[in-house]
Amino acid sequence: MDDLQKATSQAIVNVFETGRILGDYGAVAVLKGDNGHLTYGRSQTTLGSGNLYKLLLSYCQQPAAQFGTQLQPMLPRFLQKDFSLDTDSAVKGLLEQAGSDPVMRAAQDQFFNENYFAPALRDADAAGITQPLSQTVVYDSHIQAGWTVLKSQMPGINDLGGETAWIAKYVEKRKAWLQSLKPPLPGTVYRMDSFNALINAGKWNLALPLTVHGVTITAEALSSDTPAPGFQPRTLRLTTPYLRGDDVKQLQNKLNPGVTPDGIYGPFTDALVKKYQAGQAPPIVEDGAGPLTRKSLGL
Amino acid sequence: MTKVPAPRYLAAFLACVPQAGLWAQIPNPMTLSPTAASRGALFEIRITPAPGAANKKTIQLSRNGAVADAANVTFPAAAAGAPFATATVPDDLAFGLYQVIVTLDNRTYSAVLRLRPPGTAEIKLDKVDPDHTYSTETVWIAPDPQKPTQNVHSLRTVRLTLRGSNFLKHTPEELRKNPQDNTIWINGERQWVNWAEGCSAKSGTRDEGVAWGIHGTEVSSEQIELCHVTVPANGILLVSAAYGEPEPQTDRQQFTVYRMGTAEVAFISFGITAALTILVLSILWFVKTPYRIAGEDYTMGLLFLDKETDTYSLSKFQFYFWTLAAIFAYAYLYISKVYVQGGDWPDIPGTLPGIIGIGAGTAIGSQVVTAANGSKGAGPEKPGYLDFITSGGVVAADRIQMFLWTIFGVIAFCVGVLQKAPGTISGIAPVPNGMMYMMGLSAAGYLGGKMARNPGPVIAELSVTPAMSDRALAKAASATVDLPDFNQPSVAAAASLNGLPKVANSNAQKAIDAFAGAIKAAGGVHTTSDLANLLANLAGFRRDCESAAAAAAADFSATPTAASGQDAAAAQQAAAYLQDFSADVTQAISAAAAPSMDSVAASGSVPRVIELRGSNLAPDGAFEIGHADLPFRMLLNKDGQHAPEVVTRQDGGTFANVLRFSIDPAHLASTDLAQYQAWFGADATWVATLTNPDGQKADQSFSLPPATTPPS
Repeated sequence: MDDLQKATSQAIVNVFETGRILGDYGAVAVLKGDNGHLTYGRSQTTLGSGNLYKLLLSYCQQPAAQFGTQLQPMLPRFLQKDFSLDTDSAVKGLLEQAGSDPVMRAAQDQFFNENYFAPALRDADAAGITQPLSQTVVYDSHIQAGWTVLKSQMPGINDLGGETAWIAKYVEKRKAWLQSLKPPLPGTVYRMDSFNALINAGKWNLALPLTVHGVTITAEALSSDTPAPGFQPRTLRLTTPYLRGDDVKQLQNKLNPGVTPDGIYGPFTDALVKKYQAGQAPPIVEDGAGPLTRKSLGL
Repeated sequence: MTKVPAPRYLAAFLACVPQAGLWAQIPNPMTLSPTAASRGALFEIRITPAPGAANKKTIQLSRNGAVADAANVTFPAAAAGAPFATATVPDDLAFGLYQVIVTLDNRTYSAVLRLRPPGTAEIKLDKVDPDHTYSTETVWIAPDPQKPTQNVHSLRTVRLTLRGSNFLKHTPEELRKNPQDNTIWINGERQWVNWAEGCSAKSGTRDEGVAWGIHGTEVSSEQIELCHVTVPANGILLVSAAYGEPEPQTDRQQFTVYRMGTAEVAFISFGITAALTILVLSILWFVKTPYRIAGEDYTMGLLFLDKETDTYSLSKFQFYFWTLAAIFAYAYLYISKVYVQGGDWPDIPGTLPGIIGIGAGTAIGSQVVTAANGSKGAGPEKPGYLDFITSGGVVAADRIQMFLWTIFGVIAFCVGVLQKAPGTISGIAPVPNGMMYMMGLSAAGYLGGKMARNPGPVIAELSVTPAMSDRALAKAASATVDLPDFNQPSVAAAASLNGLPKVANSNAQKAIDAFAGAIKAAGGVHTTSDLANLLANLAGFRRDCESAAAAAAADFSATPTAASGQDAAAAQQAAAYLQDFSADVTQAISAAAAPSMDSVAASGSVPRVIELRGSNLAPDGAFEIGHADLPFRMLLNKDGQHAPEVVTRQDGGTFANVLRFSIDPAHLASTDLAQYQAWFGADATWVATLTNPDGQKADQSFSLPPATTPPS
């Protein structure tokens, strides 16, 4: 699995978990049950499981962590699984703000990679599962849990005629299993419906673009609005969901000066781009707002 | 031959011939030379002392009131050694004994002449071989012309092949002149055989009968075929032959027509055996309540079932099999003797008690050995035919040999019985001593093997505590349904909605309305079915909203004014906010599902105790669930050992009557935990197997949750 496929794989599970391609690093929620309580981050790290403490510890140990000094004193409460944190609005607010810190994002990415993605790939490899979509199915089962239970009830890959048939059967079995569980777990069968759609479309290599749960994943959508040094800014196009970010705001400021930009590359912004491109001499021919348009606008 | 008034000759011949004393009253004894002659042959007549002269001289041959003149009669001149007269036999006389009567005026002389074929050879009839038959032919007999009210009726006839020597073979012309030269007697009655038509004669039909009568074919001088021979009531035909009548005849040869052949009698015997078997099965069917094993009813199988082990019993099978063979054999003998041979009710053949005794002795011996030594292993939970050759699921050589000897012995015995035809059978041939010895040895080997073998495990009951699956326990533990909390995203979305400007463009208004509709839909989720519909509804609102935003943008492109731009921007924001709201809803559902999933998949497994009750349960045996080993390392008994716990030890041995397996998933390695969750994670039915060290095993199924109908 290459980097783009890995990003796509994680984006698929992000969509399942948060409805967003890049996940919601600042999401805070309070869940019921002994293993739930306060949850945080892109993939619902919970206070009850002790993982939230591990994540915050990792973050606070980073020198560049913007909120490290504020969160550091609270770590013992996370270690002790102090459930009064569920109602501590100050802590929840702090966590929401930390979600925008690139260091927190990196910490979450590393945490989820080490605790979920890498083990999932190891389990997939052990089971003889090698295709990116299949590995994503396994990863999703690690994130949502239940891989061990269901895997033990499945026949061998060779018994079902190979990996693709096995994964299709596994997805079918997992869907039935989710539907058999208590609410709201049956409500999450959209994950298996999405996998079924990808399987039927033959997206075994996770070639982009692809759509899961109403969200279209493109290379641009996987890119950040603040590109790393040495990387070209992303091309802004009309996608579903709409691209957001500061780069969109900069574009809107140039195209529609005097109006407060909303940072949304929707149909109106796209119409502004096309109007601008058509008004140039010669007209700019480009799909979306790419390098030619940015250069013309002086961005 | 001239017919003469019967009274005169009958008075003279019939009165004189049988009463030898009257011969002496004939004044001049007459002799013939030769005393036997063929047609056209010359014979001499001598009368001593010579009779005197007579004016009227006649020589006639007489039989049964019929008189014929001798041919070529001469009266040579008297001289020393010369006969009184010579004559030749007429060509058209039938064979047989004739009175030669010489009449000289009013004096009469007579002597007996036998008319026979040329030569001296006599007709000879061999013993009929085969001397019996089971097949008959139906001949349809036309009504007697004298009795026109009669209908065509059937006659049971038989076809006979007579072999012997010196039968006469005629040409058609000869047959026409002298049709009864080969004379046949059946049961003392002379038969008028239709030789001309032969055995190719038709047998008639129900509509068109034929004339009654025996037909015959002179095949050769050594063979005669007879057909349409009426079968007498007793089926016995005593057949003799001669040249003419009345004597001499050949010896009477017996031929018997039996009513039924081997196939018919065997079929009826089999039917009787089957009927008796069905009678027993019917009693079982109507009287016995079904015996239930692992949810399956056994009614007919009760005949073979050993309830202690829920297996089919080989000794019972052997006993029944030999009993049925004995019934079949005796039925065959009875029908043959009583109905085929017409004899008396035959006694029980001496061989039958012997074979029944071996079967009964083996069955009883088996019970004795089981009582003393313990039962065999139960093997698979449900009884099957493999039980006949296995003990506790392990193939047993002693059982195979007995099974095979029983099958072979019964077949050989029945075939031996059928070798005797119903018409000739006199009794059941005794089973050879060697065979009886072999059967006894086979039974002894079986009982010996049973005695030498260790008793095997029998599981009467298996209980799992708790009896519900992990998933069912998790469901039961959380009676209330945790619906996702959409309050926070709804509040945020409502705030975004309120922040949108008022618009004039209809498409922009549609976009805003769709956003508002989505928020309202999320607020209406109160049940699990509402939740199931929400995602589909949100997808619809999103499509509508995004389409409306695109339309508003198109309106702006068509009329690029500040107002249309504001409206298009508002529509774009509405669509974007709805996208965010949809994502938040997804996130809320996913978040709400997480703890439920954790309880199901991660920490949902609870400790369990599996308890076996039965007999001969070896604590050091191997235990499997669903053909997967339950290794000792997964067990933890009350002494802290990785081993099963013997709750109740069986008297005087190492076996247990109650064996307990305790498993705590908290102490299991990941692979063992995975296996544990596979067994007990979800509702399922499994087959547990306990295999004793000697390989005998017992199966018992169980289900999570337990079946509503407890296994018997």
